Amino acid sequence: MAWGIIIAIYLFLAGAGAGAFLIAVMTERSGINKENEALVKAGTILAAPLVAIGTLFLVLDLTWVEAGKFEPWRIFYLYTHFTSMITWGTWILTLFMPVSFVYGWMKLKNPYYTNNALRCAGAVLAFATSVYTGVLLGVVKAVPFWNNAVIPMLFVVSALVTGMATAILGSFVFGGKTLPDFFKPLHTWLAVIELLLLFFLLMIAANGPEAARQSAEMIISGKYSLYFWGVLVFLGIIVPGVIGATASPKAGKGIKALDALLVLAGGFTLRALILLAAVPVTLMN
Amino acid sequence: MPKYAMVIDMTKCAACQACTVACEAEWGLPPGEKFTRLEEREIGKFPNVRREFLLIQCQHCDKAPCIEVCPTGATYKREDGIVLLDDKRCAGCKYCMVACPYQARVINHEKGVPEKCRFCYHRVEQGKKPACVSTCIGEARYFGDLEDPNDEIHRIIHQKQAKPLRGDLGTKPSIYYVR
Repeated sequence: MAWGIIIAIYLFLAGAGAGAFLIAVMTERSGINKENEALVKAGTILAAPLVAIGTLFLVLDLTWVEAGKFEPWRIFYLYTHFTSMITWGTWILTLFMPVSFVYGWMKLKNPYYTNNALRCAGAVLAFATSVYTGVLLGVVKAVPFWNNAVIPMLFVVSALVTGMATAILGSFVFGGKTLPDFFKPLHTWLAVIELLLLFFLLMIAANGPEAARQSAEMIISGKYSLYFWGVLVFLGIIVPGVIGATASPKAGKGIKALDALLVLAGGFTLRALILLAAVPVTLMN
Repeated sequence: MPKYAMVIDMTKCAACQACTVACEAEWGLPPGEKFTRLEEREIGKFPNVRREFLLIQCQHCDKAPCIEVCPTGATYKREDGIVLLDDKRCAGCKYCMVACPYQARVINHEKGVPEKCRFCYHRVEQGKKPACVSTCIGEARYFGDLEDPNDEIHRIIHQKQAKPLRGDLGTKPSIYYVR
């Protein structure tokens, strides 16, 4: 397929950035205090740079860039065709980056700063970022494995999960020690939902048209099975899920950081697997 | 206004790939870039096996997924049904390559855009047939105008029960296959 690992990196970073912003906003809404201000700071200020780095990968994957040409004006045409999810995505990214950057910058200077309009706009755009990346693939009829509503839902959940991990790691940098109370149940529930959605996706694919069956086979028992079962399901969801559900709220930074790193590894593996296992519709039957 | 269409009769195809080569020569394509490709597979079980071939290129769909997903409008359909790419407008996102069920697009690494069959519009405008059609030794390809009631293409499609490839996908292709 035309989209490979570079696009997977973009999808992962955009998801993590958007998710970090959403998690930070949720934390802020739950009542900002001395305990969680580092996390709110980290989640909001990390969003724009992560999405921007992701967007850089997106640009690197453009065919004229690969061909070694410098023709940046071509990017502006991307804003013009609203039948394409990429046009929607271009607008969403263009708006989300400055909005989240400004909000993050204000939060960095003063965690108790608040601005309803900016926060709501940022949250809506963050959600839109995580949704559109899934719909981008979901509308592609040519790839039966993607052509369903599970993919966008999975991408939203993955964005929240990786965003939470990003915000946690970032909060340690800003001197944060404890996590908000609602993280523990949210972590567990997201892990359960992610496993369920993966199950739905693979069941639908395994019982779908030939091309979708081939995709499912690659992931479940074929060439990507080790990455799927080992890195995504076991290390990326089950292990951190168990750590999250059992670790005491006073547990050290080390275990929390390990939990977050595993989640991020799983999140990237998810995006990569979904792109790499794409098989176009069969023509010869 | 004509509405161009093609019939590819795989029962007449010798799998010689002269069409692929004629196309590459006509457009001066760099090595490895093909607008029309031959897919093959083995079917049946020993001793009753045979090899099946299928020629695939841009189907010039009336409901082309590549046009729908193109974020820049670089891919467009002419009134005569030919789907083309405006090189200068293409941002190179490759969404068209991803969305095409026929996988008809190939990247031109010199120009840095995903290209595809153009139904030899420059030849067709001069009243000639596309390069792949005129070169075919088995006359497995037929190019015609669906708007012209006297065009042979109607009889060929009807008589041979030619059908679009994966018509179930709803892309309304302009190429009809006899298989």
